[in-house]
Amino acid sequence: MKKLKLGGVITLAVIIAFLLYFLIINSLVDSYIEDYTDIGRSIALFDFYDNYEDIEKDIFYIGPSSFKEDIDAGLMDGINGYNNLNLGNPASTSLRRYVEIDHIIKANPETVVLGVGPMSLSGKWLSPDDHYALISDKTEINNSLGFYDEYPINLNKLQLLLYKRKFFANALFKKIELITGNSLYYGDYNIDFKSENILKQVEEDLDIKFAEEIKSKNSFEEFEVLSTKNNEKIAFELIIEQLKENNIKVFIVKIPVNPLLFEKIPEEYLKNYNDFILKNSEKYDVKVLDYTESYGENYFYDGLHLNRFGREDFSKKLAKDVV
Amino acid sequence: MWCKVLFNSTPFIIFLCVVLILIWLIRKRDYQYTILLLASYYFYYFSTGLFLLSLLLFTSSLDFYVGKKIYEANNKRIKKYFLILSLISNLGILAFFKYTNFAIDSVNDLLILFGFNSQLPILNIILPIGISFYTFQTMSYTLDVYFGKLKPVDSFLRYMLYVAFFPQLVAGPILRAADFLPQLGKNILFSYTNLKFGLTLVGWGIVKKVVFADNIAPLVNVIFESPTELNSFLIILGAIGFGIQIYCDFSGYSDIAIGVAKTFGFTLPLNFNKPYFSKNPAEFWKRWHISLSTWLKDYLYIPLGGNRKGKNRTDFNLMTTMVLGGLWHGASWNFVIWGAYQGILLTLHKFFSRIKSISGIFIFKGIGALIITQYFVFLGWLIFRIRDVSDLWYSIKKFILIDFSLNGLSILEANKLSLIFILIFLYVHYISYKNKDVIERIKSLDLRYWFVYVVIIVLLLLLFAPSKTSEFIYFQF
Repeated sequence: MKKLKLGGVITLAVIIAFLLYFLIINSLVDSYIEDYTDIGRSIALFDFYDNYEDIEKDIFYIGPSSFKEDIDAGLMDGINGYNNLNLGNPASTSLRRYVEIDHIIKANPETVVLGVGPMSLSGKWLSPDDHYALISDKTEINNSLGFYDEYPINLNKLQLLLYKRKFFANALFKKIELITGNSLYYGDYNIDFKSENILKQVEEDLDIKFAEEIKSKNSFEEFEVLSTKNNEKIAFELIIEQLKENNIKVFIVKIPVNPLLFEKIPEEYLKNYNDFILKNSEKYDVKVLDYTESYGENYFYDGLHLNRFGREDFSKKLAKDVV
Repeated sequence: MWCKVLFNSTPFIIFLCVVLILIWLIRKRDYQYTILLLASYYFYYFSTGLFLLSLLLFTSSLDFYVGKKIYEANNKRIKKYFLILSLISNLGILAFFKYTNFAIDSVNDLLILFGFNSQLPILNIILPIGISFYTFQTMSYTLDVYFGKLKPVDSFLRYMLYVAFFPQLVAGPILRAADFLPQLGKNILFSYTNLKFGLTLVGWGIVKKVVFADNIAPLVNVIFESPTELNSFLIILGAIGFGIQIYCDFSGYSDIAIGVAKTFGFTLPLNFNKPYFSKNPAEFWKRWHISLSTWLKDYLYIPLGGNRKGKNRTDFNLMTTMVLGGLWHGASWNFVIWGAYQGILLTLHKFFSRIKSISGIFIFKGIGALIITQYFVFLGWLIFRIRDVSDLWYSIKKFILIDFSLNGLSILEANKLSLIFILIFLYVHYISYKNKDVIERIKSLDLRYWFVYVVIIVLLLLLFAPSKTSEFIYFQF
């Protein structure tokens, strides 16, 4: 009898623990993901796509965070006469952007400009922000397209619930930050997609931390030679393919790279990156605008983000080149 | 092809439930033991494959046979021959599988040093998991029979189960036949008390491994990945973190093993007893990996003469025991050095104890003794953890010559969780030291309160288990 009781107690304890877990995820982790990570921005972005009134002469800019921060869409409007929309998000990678593709197609822009940097196609670069996006309710990626399983693509409800435990500690720390009043809220960030208040371009000088780091490093671990196939490459190609299939004009923009960083990128890595872009541009008949080596170090805030002057110059150039 | 069945994995929980149910259904003693033995072999086969399972079968069969022959022999010389046969076979197999490539590597290094161009080829040898543990177990059986401390067991089945009992097969505690075989005399009856105690320990062991060790590991890894740019604070923190990680990892495994065995009604020896509250190196080795240190004492240190042959010989015996103990951990020079380092600590402790007993000169006591002992214990963990010589040398210098710099603390910002778990562990370790045995108290709790314990354990695992389970560190030994 006592043994049966013991079994009952364990079963009940496990059920209660799961319920408590569910409550914690629901009250703490979900609200953290929605309000204080990239997903807060994603919701605004999906709302934008879904409610977008199709107009002529519109250009969507999507790409890594560096591309988003390198352009001033308001300034570009005055130069090319188009409605330029900087739809960049804190999240960076192609896989992350692929989450939005159906919504972008539905919004039916005339042109989509895809920013891409040397780091964009590395399998190592799925940041926590991308994880948040991939576990969002908005995310539906068809895994039959051949994505690898190592990322949280197409989790079922139970798997998703368990997966969210990865963010419990972050959510807890964020709660503490909120209590101490020291927190960044993404809700108001680039709200009209005209990039007025983008983060780093207020700076004019090279970031001290970056300057120190770039001097001390001989090589960058993240620049390992890209594998022939990874989720980022698959997603990048699929984005182009699906936009082209829907008769949307596409440009690939190779974003400016600080010469201090560029000289330290291994040659083999660059060749892999360049070959991949070239192959896809030829395959899908897409024009490539290459700004990789267009700016000197005085135009940068760090390795990949332009400063205020660089951003202004780059926006003017790009506004003309994409029309 | 083969995957180690981790105690903290779902396949193991399913496996354990199936074995428990089968043994509960079958009431006859020998059938129960047969099921348990087959389950143990299946567990080992699943983790290593058929070849290494046959190696286990060979080793244990040989020692069963040798034990009988030693006991039956009237002539001392014949007894000795059989003992030598057993030692050569056991140590030969262990040496071949564990140390051959280490020896080849060392010879190659020497060849390079003396200017030879030719190199010996490295052999493709797989290290059988648990070989260091079960070899010591079978050897202790033969040695006990030889020294007349134990009568050989009649039942082949029970002997094989003693060697292969799955909870402790791959990473201990190292069992003694005299402790375990007498427990195999009766039916396995599941008692409420044993089940509750066993499950309490299993839960706590998994939390130690999955919540503490696995969450502290990222900080330790990032510190020792490239320590040569770090300050003393981070090196010391890395050493403390690793000390806690390896303790939670290994003692967590031991707790699970002891707990699982307890659910079947078997008592396995205690393997850890709050080692970080030791006040001298000798006490540390009475509290750390107890089943190994007592094995080394009984089958190496004492047969070498122990402390019965004068001061110098005692010191030599201590050093030999600890160097071999270090080498037991792994085929690498850093384990040999770590063993020698532990030997030096023990020898120095003996030296100061002698001074104290002769002159009465004050030697650190209480908290002072604890801090000094643990300072050297954690310094030792650097030797255990860091394989690269220049990294190790740098880290030791930073550990000893403290620079009081606070640069590079951004590592902590990115690993806040690890830091928090280090602090929580220190608190829990202190509480369990002060309150004697917390687990003992928990297992005696009324079911209503024990229920809360289970909820907390499951919730901790749900919230803090890393997405990928990692192997237990001591599996490699």
